[in-house]
This record gives sequence, structure tokens and C-alpha cells, in this order.
Amino acid sequence: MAIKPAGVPAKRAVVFIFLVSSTVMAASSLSLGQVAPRWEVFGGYAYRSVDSTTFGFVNRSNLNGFDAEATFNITPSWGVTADAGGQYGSQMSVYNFLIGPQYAIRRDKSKFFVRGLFGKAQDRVNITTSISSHFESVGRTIGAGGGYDLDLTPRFTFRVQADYLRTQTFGVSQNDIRVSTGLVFHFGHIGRRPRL
Amino acid sequence: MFFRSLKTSLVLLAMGLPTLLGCGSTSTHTAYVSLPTANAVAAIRIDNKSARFTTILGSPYPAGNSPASVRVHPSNKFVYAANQSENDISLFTVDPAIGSLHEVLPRTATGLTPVSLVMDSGGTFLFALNQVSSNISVYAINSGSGALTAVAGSPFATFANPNAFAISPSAKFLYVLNANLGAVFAYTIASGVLQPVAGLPVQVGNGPLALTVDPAETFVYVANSADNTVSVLSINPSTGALTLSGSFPTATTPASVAVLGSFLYVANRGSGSISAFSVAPSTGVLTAITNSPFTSPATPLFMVIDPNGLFLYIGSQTGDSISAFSINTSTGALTNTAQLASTTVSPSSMSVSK
Repeated sequence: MAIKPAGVPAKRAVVFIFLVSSTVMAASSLSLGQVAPRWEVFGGYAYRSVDSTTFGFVNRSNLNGFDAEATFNITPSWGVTADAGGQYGSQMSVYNFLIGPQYAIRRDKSKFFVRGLFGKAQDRVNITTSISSHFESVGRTIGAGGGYDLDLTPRFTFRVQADYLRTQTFGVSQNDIRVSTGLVFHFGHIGRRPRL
Repeated sequence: MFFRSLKTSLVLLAMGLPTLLGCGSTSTHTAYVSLPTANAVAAIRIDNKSARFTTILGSPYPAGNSPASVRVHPSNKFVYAANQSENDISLFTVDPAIGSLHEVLPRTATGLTPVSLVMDSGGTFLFALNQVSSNISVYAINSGSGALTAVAGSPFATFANPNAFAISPSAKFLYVLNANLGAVFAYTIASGVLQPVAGLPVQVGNGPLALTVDPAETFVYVANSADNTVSVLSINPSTGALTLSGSFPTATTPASVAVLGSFLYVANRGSGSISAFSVAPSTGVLTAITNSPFTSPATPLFMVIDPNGLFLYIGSQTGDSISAFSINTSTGALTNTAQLASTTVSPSSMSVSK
């Protein structure tokens, strides 16, 4: 079976990422004199739209679940983010284990960030056939995204973020989006101690 | 100020991202293809606009021994496969979200060597043509479970070694082809019970392999593989009796026929082509369409018209694949879309969901 990945959504996502990245980079000249926590740990709700039509579903699949991240900031602007999440639907569950660089622009009470991600995905589809009750596949994932943090207290921040994830499972590629929101806990600091 | 604008832009972009990626529903049909040598049925999703094929996860799904023919129920909830080497029918339930198949056991017994299945358009009765036992098994379909129950009097005897049959759109008549005799036998259908139409069978050409009834229930078309012709038979709308209207040349070894409105398509297995004709509505006279015959994949074995009438799907016996040709609805001309689904082994029949 000749299966072609959905090219148009991927191109649109690249344009989206380029626009966000360009905007953030243009603003980077305003981000001098920053201070930052050493660690930022995020946990929260995640929605994911999976391009399940590439392996036969009538429509894309809407999943709900969690996302957890830990970012180690090397400088106030640059850090490394590790991401683990699971999203679930009536017939499908998706897990991601990702890592990648993150660039942040900080202000007194808020932060914008963009990042690239790569790693692995594990997809499971629950359909009952004569030989199996489910199908599983593990494949690579690459992605990019960004988000916005708003400080609630000196230790806690509200976050909303979105990522484009291109996953290779079941022998085909899926162009997925993930939107997540939750709280970030800060500890440690870089350079001049932040105002706590 | 710049920072605030940036924040607003990002929020708007995040909100619009699902639209950018196209989260809306798609418009597709599901096709089921019998694969006798794999003892399985394949499931393929077909895009209604482009005819792009997508193999459904888990496909092909195990069936009985050598499934020769497959039919999907009009509710799209059930699929049936005739297992010609074990003399029974497999019932599958269809997962509505993805179209995958799950066989419901036990299988339903037929006569000897069921080679073909047909179903009335309402999905009330399923008919199995048993080639070796020379009869037709008729089953009432339970609309809730898909289970089959033989109707009173089933199986109904035919002449020796029938090889193909077709049901009229109104489900009033059933036409059975006998290649050895080169003849078509007509039956009436009443509550699933078959009664032979009075009179002699109608002689067609040599080596007839396939037949079909047009949607207007005016003509029956028969592909005569040994003399490279297609026979046109007119239907008596009251009795179902047939009258030979004429025979028209095709290319080499016609093996399958399909009709869409006033266009007739004949798959020529020997020459690897599709002969296309326009049909005179009152007389049944066939006129070749410009550029006919159209080159097809090698050894076309069967054809299925897309439910929307936009594509012709062709099963290739040696190419182990299904191809999609777009149909010019004005002229009837065919164009290869280059969409191809590999079936790994030779497909024998195909049925597309409504």
C-alpha cells in the first residue's frame, strides 16, 4: 500500500513555527539583563489532535491527558527541556518521551519560550480483530512549539503551550498538535538572585 | 508594548493551530477486498475527492479458507465473505471509527464452493452462488446482529456449474450465468424465495464470465471472454424475462462489466484495457467512447463503481493491487488517477461502503 504523509498540514505547521520563531527572535534584543530559575518543573493537562487518518481512521482523534516537563536553564535564555506525556481517547493512547533545547524571553512577571523536541512515541490503538485486541507501535518523534508563562507567585507560574509533533508510527507519519496548560514550579537560580 | 503584541500574536496563533492542521472530519468510503490466497479480507479507506487509498490498521483480517467474494452491508455495520474452499460465509462486524473487521463465529454453512455473493440494496437478504453444488443459498439478514438465517426452501437449484450472478436494483429478479452453456437464467425473488422465470435461458456469447444489471433495470450486460464480445439483454419489467438485444465487440478476454448511468465499462483481462461504451437508453445499442479502450493495470479481473460515481476501481489479478480511474461524468472517459493500493496477493472481489 502506497501511503503518502499529509504534506499540506506539515508545511503549514512549518510556516507557523517559522512565524513564532521569527517573532521571538526579533524580540530577543529586549531580553537583556535577565535572571532565571535554574529548574522549571511543569505539570498539567494536555489535549492532542492525532492525525489518525494516516492509518485508517475516518477522522483525526482527539485525546486528553497529561504533560510533564522539566527544564534545566543553562543561561537565562537557553535551557534544555525534557518532556513526558500521555494522552488518551476511547480507542487510542499516545505516549511521548522527548528532549530538546528551549529559548526563553523573560520579563518581570512573564516569559515566552520556543523549543525544539525530539524523541520517541508509543501509540496504542484498541481495535478488536480475530487476532488481537490492540495494535502498538513505537517510533520517532520530532517537533517544535512554544508557550507563555505568567507568574502567579514567586514559586509558581501558570503556563499555556502548544507543540507540533511529527510522529512515525505504524509505518506512516502523523502530523499532530498538542496544547497543554498547567503550573510550573521554580527552584534554584542563575546569576543575580531573583526577587522571591 | 512589543511584548504585549507578541503575547497576543502567540495566543491567536495557538488558537488557530488546529484549523491550520485541518482537524475537521474527512469524507471517505471504506472498501473491502477478498484475498483468497491469503485467507483474508483487506480493508482500505478511500478519499472521496482524490481516491487516495489508506490501508486500515490491522488489515488484512483473517477470514475462512479462500474467500472468493465479499459484500458490505448497506448499514456499513457488517461485511460478509464467501469462503469457497470451506463452504461457508464469514460474518464480520465493522468498527465504525476505523473500519476494521472482527469476525463473528461460528461461520454460516453454504452449498459447495460458494464463488459469489450478492445482496439486495436494502440489506435484507444475502445470496450465495454455490458453483459445485449448483444451487443458490439465500439468507435473511438480522439487521441488528448481521446474523444469517436460511430462508425457507434454500438452497434453490440452478443448472449445473453456475459461475456468476447479479441481482436487479429492485431486488425483484436474479440472473445467473452459466459459462458451460453460454446462457443466462432468470429468477424472480419474493421474500428471498427464488422462482425460475418461465421459458428457456437466453443464449449469449462464448465463455461468459461476468454480468451486471443497469441501475434503471432495463438491461443485463454479459462479458463473453471467449469471443471478445459483450451481450446486451433487455429485461421485461413485469416478468424479468430476458431478450437478447445485441452483441458488441470488446478487446481481448472481457472478464468483468460495470455500469454507471448510460455508460458501460468492460474489463479486458487479456489486453489489459477497459472498453467504455455509451448505451442508447431505449435500444441498448453500445457505442464506443472516444479513446476507448483505455489502458488499465495488467489483467483486470473485476471493477467496482465508486458510490459517488466519480471513480472506477479496478482489481488487477497479476498486479496484486487496486487502482482508481476517474470517470468523466459527461463523456464517460476514464483517466488513471495513479492512486494504487497494493494487496500483496491477487484480489478476487471488492465491495465499497455506501
